[in-house]
Amino acid sequence: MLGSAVSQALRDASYAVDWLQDGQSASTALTGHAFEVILLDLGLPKLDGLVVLRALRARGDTTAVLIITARDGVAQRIEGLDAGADDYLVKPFAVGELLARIRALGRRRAGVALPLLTNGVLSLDPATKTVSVAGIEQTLSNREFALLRELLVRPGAVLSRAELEDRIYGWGEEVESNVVEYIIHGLRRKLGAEAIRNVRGLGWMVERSPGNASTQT
Amino acid sequence: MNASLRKRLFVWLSASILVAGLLAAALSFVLSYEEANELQDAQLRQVADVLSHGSLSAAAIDFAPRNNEAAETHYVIKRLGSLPPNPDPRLDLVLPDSLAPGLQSLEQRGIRWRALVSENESGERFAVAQRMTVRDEVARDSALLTLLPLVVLVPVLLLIVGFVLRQAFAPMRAMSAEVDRLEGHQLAALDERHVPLEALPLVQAVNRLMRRLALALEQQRRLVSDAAHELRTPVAALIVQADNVQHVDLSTEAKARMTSLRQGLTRMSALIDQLLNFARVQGAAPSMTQRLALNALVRSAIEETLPLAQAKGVDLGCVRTDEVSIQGDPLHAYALVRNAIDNAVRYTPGGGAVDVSVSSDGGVACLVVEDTGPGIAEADVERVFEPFVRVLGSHESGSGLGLAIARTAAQALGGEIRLGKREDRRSGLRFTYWQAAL
Repeated sequence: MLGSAVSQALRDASYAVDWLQDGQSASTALTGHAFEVILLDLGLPKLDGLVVLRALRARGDTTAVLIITARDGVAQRIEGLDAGADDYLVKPFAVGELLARIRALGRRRAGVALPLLTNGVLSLDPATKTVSVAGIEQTLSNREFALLRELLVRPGAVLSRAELEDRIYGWGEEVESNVVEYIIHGLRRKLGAEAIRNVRGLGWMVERSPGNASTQT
Repeated sequence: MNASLRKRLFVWLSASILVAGLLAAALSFVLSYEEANELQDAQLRQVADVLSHGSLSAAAIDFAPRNNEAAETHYVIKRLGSLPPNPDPRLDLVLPDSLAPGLQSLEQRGIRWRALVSENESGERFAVAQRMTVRDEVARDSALLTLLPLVVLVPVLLLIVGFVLRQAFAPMRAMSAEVDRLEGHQLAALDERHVPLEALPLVQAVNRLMRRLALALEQQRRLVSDAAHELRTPVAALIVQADNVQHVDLSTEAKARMTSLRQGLTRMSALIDQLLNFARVQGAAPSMTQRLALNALVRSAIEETLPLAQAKGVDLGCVRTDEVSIQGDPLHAYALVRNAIDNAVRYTPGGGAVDVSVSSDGGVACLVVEDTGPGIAEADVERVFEPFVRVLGSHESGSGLGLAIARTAAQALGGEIRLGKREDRRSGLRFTYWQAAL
């Protein structure tokens, strides 16, 4: 049921899909064909998914493998990654996330180190120190760039004033008062008031995949 | 009413000691009384013996006490048939000729006498007599003296019995205390090392029961965990299917229905996650404890809950963030903090606020989460900790497991949760958790 649904989702996204329903036939198919990405459910009949994965890596095959598992315990994740997986996804998941991870694996395979920092709305290019929001590019000052970069490294994480000051200023530099608020005020003017959110009593954050909150759990 | 073994032993032992003591006292009293009387009879006989060798002199014969005091102790010695020189019946007595020889008790005008009638070498009959009151008093005094050791010993024995019983039952009390200390779902075997031989089978049986219970609990926990894991695959399939449908061209009506279907699936998957969390906090080994920064845990939990709060329009924030550390398993501590905050956000209507505070006061780390929701009636405060109990109405999207998870985690951490009203008298719930700070 999950297999057919995922196959459909991938075909909808214009991927070519081979769906194999047990570990034995998967192993056989993997020896004959070259795939771009392998989605491997660990709970396979006949042959355990980890066995299939180890056999694949033992042959020197470096195809990207994304493990899909119902177990989200740390031990299982470590076991999967140690067996040679590139990434893992815990059931249940949204199709959007599955496709995003497949794209990320594809990029990594292609050797494109994508330096863009993004949360889906804001994209920051460290090379040019420009940020684009809804297709409009804005140039940032050094401090604005440093602050936004800190926030975009982990979208959804809240950084306190002290933490932001630490990262904007080097050792021994004197911190001006209200500088964080001042920079954020400037950033909001360029990027819109919603771009950087204040969390009362804690600090500031940029949202993780904003506008999509209702379907994220 | 349960019978107390210790009380029963004490009562029976004490009763036995008392009865035995009383019997021994009565016996020794009677025996020494008799003995004293016999001794005094022997004295009468001795006096009579001395007097019977030779003729009775005038001085020796008709000897009677002069006054009351002497009458208490002195013998009366006189010929039979002679008239009393003193008419006072307390001092003297009348001895008729007709008295038979030998020991006898007499009574004259209210006074009782003990008399020995004898005959001397010259054939004169005489009597040696003594007042009974004196004899009785001497006998009673000596008999009473023999009771003294018993009177002292019995209370001492009772004290010793009480003390020994108390000591003997101390291991039982210690064991009860040990069982009482076990918290929540903890089922540790009792220490069998210092248990007395007699109580050992009981303790071993209890330990076997504990092991069976622990096994059953563990099986139940694993069933919940396995069931939740198994549910994940079909739910994942449903979610992907629903996402796939959204790629097809749908009418606006169909799209709206798909959206609510998709939301239902999201709720279902959240419930499965909570079931897993519940199984996990119940089963985590307490050996994973480490130093945890409570304020950092709160920050992570707020980050995780912010999307929900923003979607609902709830202002989630902190009013105090002291830096304070606690000792515990990170899984438990995070589950506790996360569920406290998540629950508050879920039950707060849009436009409301959730205030989180972390404080450290006098060696106690304290987490307070206040919301502006409907609060919980005092009568329901205990019930809401049970799994799947939702007194606030089932419209909210909670799983009904949040507080059950929080309480299980709190028990594992060794802290305490209290639910109450807000202190500023606004409507809302105040969730307080505290445990020892590091």
